[in-house]
Amino acid sequence: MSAPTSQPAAPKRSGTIATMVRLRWSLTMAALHKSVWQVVGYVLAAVMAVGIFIGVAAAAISFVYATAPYDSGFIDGLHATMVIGGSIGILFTMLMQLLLIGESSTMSAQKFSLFGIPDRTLVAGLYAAAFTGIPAICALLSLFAWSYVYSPMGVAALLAGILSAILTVALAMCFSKAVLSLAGQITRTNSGKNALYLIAMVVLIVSAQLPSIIMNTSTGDDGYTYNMGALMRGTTIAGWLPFGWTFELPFDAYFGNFGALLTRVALTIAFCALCYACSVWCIARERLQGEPQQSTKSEKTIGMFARVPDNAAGAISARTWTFLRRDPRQAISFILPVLFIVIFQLESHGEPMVVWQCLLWMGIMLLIGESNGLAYDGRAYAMEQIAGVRGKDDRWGRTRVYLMIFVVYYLLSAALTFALTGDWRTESGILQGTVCSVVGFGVSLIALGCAEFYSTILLYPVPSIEKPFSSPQGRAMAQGFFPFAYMLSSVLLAAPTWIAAIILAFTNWGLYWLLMPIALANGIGMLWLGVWLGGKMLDARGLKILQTLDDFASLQK
Amino acid sequence: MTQPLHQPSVPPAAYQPAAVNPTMAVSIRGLFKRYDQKIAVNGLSLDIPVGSFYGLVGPNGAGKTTTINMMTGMLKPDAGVVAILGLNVWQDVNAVKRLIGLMPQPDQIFSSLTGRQLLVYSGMLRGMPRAEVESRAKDLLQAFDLVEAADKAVSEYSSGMTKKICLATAMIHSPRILVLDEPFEAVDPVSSANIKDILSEYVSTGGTVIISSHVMSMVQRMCTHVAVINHGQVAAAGTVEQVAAGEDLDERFLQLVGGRHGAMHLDWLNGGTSPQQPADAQPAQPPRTPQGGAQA
Repeated sequence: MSAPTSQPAAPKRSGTIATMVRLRWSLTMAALHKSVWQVVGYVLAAVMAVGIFIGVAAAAISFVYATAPYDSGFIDGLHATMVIGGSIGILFTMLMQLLLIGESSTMSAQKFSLFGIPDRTLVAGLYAAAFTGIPAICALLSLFAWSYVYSPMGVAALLAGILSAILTVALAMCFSKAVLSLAGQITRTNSGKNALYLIAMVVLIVSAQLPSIIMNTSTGDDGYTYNMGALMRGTTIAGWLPFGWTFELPFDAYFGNFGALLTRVALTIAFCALCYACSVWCIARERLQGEPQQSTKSEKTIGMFARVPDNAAGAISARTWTFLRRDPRQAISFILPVLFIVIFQLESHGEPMVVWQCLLWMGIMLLIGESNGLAYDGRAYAMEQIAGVRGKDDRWGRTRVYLMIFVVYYLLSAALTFALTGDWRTESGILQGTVCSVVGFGVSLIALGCAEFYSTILLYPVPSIEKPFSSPQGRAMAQGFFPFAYMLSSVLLAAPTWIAAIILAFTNWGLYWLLMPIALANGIGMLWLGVWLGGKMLDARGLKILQTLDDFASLQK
Repeated sequence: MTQPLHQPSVPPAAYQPAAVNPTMAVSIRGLFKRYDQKIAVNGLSLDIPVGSFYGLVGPNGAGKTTTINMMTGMLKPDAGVVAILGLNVWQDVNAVKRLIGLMPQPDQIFSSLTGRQLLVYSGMLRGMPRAEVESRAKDLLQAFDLVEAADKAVSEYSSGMTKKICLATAMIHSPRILVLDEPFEAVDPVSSANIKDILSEYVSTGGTVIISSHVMSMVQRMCTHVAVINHGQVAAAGTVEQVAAGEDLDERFLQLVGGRHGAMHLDWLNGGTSPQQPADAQPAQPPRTPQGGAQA
C-alpha cells in the first residue's frame, strides 16, 4: 500500500503578511475599476500627498535658511511647538482614523475569520497593510523632509529627527489601530456605538482647536507676548507622555540627553508592542463573545408618522426625522456648531463678533451630511422607487424636516451666543446678534437648497448605520472632496447677500440690518431652486442613484 | 409550452418586438439587457396570465432578477417591451408601480423603523390615507403573526420576520400583482408556511403572484405556471404540468438548463489519506517501525 500523503505545511507568517498587503492593494485597484469617481478620488489623494510632501520639504528648507543659526529662544519655541503640536497631531490622527477613515470594512479582522490565521499573524498583516497606505507613506516622507529643520542643531539631532519620523508614524498607526479595535469591543450595542461615536467626534473637534485655544489663552494682555515658562513646563510634561516621546528625540540628541533618548525609543517600541497586543486581545475576545445582544426598545405608536401631512412627502418627513434621531453618523452634525460657538468664545478675547460669525456659516456645516443624504439612506431608498414616489415629494419631505430643525437650532444658538457674549444687554448688541442670526438662517436656506440638489448628483460611500466606525473602500477620498462642491456652491449662491454686505460696508454700514431681508429672500429663492432642481434630477436619475447605492452597499460588506 | 432558445438576430436598437398581450397580467416581448460584455437578458418573451401563481426558475446568473427588475420598473431595459395589465411599464412607470407590489429585499427597507411604522410608511408613500393605512397595517401584522413585534425596530427581527414584514409592505396597497424575488430564501419553515398560506389566499381572490425561486419542490407544490429561464432567455414556459412533461420538475429543469456535470475527481480532497482508499475508510495510521507491527 502507498505511504499516506503528508498534510500541507502551514504557510509562513511572513508569507501571510505579504499576502494581506497584496490583498489590500488588490482591493484598492478593484475599487478603482468600480467607478470613475474612485479614480478621481485616488488621483486627488495622491496629488495631495505629493503636494504635502513637497510643501513640507519646501517649508523645512525655507525655515532653515531663514532662521539658522538657531538661538536658545528659538529652539525653545521649536521644542514646544513640535512636542505639544505633534502630540495633538497624533491624537487628532487617531480620532480621524476612528471617525472619518475608520476600520476598513474590506480589510477588517472579521473578514479573515474563516481562514484560521493565527491572531498575531492576522494583526501583523492588518498593521502591515495599513503601513503601506498613502497616508502612512505620505506622513513618513513628510516627516523625513521635516527633519531637515533639525540640521542646524547638529548631526545627532538630524539623525534623531529621521528616527523620530519612523517612530512617530509607527506609534500613530499602532495607536489608531488599537483604539479602533477597542472601540469595537467597548461599543457592542447600538446605543454604545452611538454614544462613543458622538463623544469621539467632540474630542476630535476640540483637539483640532486645542493649539489655537492654547495659543490664544497663553498670550499676555497685549495679545502677542507668550508665557514661555508655562509653555516649556507643559512641553516637559508632554515630552514624557506617549504622544510626545518621538518628538522629543531630536531635542534629547541636541541637549546630549542620550539616556533620555534611548529611554524614549524603548518606551515607544514598548507602546507599539502594547497596542499590537491590545489588537490581538480584541480579536480573540470578539471571537469568543459572539453577536452582541441588542436592546429591545419599543415604540408604541407610529410616532412622527401621526403628526405629518397625510401624503407621500409627509411620510418622507416622518421617516427622515425618525432616521436622523437614530443615526449616529449624522447626529454629530448637530453638536458641532454648538461646540464651535463655545470654542470661539474661548478664543474671542472679548470680541463678540468672533462668536457671532459662527452663526453665519453653521448652516453649511450642519448640512454636509444631507448633501450626501441619499447615501445615508442606502439601499432603503429603493422603497421610494418601488412605490413610484415623485422626486419633488422626496425633496420637500426632507426639506421640511431640516427647516424645522433650523428654526429651533438658530433660536437656541442665538440665545446661547447672547448669553455667552452678553450682547443682550445693549441695543447695538441685540441688533448685531439678530442680524447675524437671521443672515445665518438665510445662508442655511441656501445651503439646504444646494444640499437637496447635490445629494442627487454627487454621492459617495458612507459607513453603514450598524458600523459607524467602518470605512467602505473609497470613502475617505471622496469624502475629502465631494462636500467642497456643495459648500462652494452655497457660498457662491449667497453672492447677493455678501455683495450687499460689501456695498453697505463701503456706503452706509448703519443700514446693515437690511442684510436680514436680503439674506432671507436670497435663501428662500435658492432653497426653492435647489429643491425643484433636486426633484427633477431625482426623477431623471432615480434608478441610476439606486444602482450607485447598491454599489456602495457592496463596498460596506 | 417549451420554447426554443434563440440568438438575438438584430442589435437592440433595431429590434422590433411583437405586440404585447393586453389581457395578460404581465406580457414581455424581446426584453434585452447588457452589462458591459455580459448579456444578462437576451430577447426574453413571456406571458403571465392573470390569477396565476407564476414561478420563475433558473440557475444562478440566468437573468431572473434582472428580468423582474425590468418588469417592475426598477431597471431600464436596453430593448423590449413590458406591459402590466395592458399598460406599458416604461411609458408611465409610476402609474404601473401603483398596480404592482414588489417585495423589497431585507436590506432595502429602513430597519430602524418599527414594523408598524414601516407599513405605514409604505402605504403613505403610495398616497394612501393614513387612517386606512393604519387599519390595514394592523390587519397585516395580525395575518403575519407580527403583532408582538409590531412596535420593535425591524433591525431586531429574525430573517423570517423580516421577510414577512417586507412582504406586508408590498401588499398594503392591495396590488393586483405581487412580485417576490426569492421570498423563501433563508426563511425558517414556520414563517415559510405562514407566507405560503397568505399568498395562496391572495391568489384565490384573483391576484397574480410572481415569484423567483431555486426551490423546485416549492414551485411544483405552489405554482400554477412556471418559466425556466437560462442564459437570459425562456427555455420553457407554461403550466407546471406542461413544463414538467410527465417528469419530475427537478429533473426536467436540469435537462433544460444543461444537466449535471460529471463530478470531477479531486485527489487532494481526501484529507491527506491515500487516494486509493474509499471515502468511508478509516484514516491511515502513522507508519510503525519494521519491528513494531502492522504495515500502513
